[in-house]
Amino acid sequence: MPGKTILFTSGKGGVGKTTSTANIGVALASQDPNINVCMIDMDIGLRNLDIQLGLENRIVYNIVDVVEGACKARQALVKDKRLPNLALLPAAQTRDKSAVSPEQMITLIAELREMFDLILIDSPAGIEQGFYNSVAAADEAIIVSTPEMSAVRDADRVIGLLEAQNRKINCWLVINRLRPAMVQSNDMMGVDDVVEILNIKLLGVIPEDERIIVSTNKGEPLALAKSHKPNGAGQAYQNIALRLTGVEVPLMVFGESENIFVKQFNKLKALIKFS
Amino acid sequence: MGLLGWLTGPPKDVTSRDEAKKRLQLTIFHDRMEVMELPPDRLNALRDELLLVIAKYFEVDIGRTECTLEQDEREVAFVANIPVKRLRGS
Ligand SMILES: Nc1ncnc2c1ncn2[C@@H]1O[C@H](COP(=O)(O)OP(=O)(O)O)[C@@H](O)[C@H]1O
Ligand SMILES: [Mg+2]
Repeated sequence: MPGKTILFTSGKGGVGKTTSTANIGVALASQDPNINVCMIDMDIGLRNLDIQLGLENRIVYNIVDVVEGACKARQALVKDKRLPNLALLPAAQTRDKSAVSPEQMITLIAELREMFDLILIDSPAGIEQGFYNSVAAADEAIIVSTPEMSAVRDADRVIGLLEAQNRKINCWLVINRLRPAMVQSNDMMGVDDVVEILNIKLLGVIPEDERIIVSTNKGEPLALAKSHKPNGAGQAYQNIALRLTGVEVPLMVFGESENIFVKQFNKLKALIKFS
Repeated sequence: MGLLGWLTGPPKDVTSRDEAKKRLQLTIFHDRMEVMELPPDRLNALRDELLLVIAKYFEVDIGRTECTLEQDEREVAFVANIPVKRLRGS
């Protein structure tokens, strides 16, 4: 069966698309050695997925080389030594978003679908060409948003653009950098607020977690750790990866105020199945 | 504080969470309108044109006519409430 393509997008920059792509990709590959996962960095000119994964020193070719025919897709893929079933197709650093077209993306991803079960696309910020290149061959979209007004507003815009596509692209919400204590004291919007406003299916919630910074420093995604702190971001990524493969995982409970919502969500967990 | 306020006590503190949610809901609603290219004056023009057509078939109570855009899930619906007095003879 040809592989499935999952887009990570948000509109706004800095909300955690790249961190989520890296960690969820690693989590998916670590959970099942039989699932071959490919991650594509579409942030041409501003590549970062390579350092998140600690693969920056092993890049030879990039996506622009592939679409321009300077090399084969296989040659540009960087294999992760920690996980043999995980590969990265890096972005070019010295070109811009116009170096690739949506048509070229469709051709490229059709080829990758024969080699991989899951293709994760890390889209750049914005709703210009880089966004449309990323959308071109996506089957599912994971909308990453923090519980902040500007991020949620941009997420809504992006969902609208995805809904306006000719093809049906399923949209899933990941809420990142939630601060349970601030939600508790009503100083931050909670999961229920964001879900009510955006009105798309919730895939998971990732708490604010300092260890993200430490793990990025080391080039070892947090989700790769042998064990995870309960209610930490590493566990949240693993849970999301499980849900993506059809396993029912209840939502984490961060605090009292989220409790009612979490209970409702957990009743609906069977909804989250798209493999 | 008016009489009603006096009866119901001082207003409860609005949290910044509530404020964010309310402002965001309104902003997003306007964003969606804008994307649909339907600013308020266009909406009024639509109402007037619509009334002209309806008035060909019914005697309508123009004063009580209400046209709004409402949000339903992720969709925006155009809702017209046009009280009808009687059918016009053809
Ligand atoms: N859950 C989190 N907790 C703490 N920091 C985070 C979290 N998610 C992302 N970050 C930080 O936020 C910054 C932006 O993340 P990034 O993934 O690069 O965003 P994007 O790709 O959307 O621009 C990074 O410095 C990252 O370490
Ligand atoms: Mg990024």
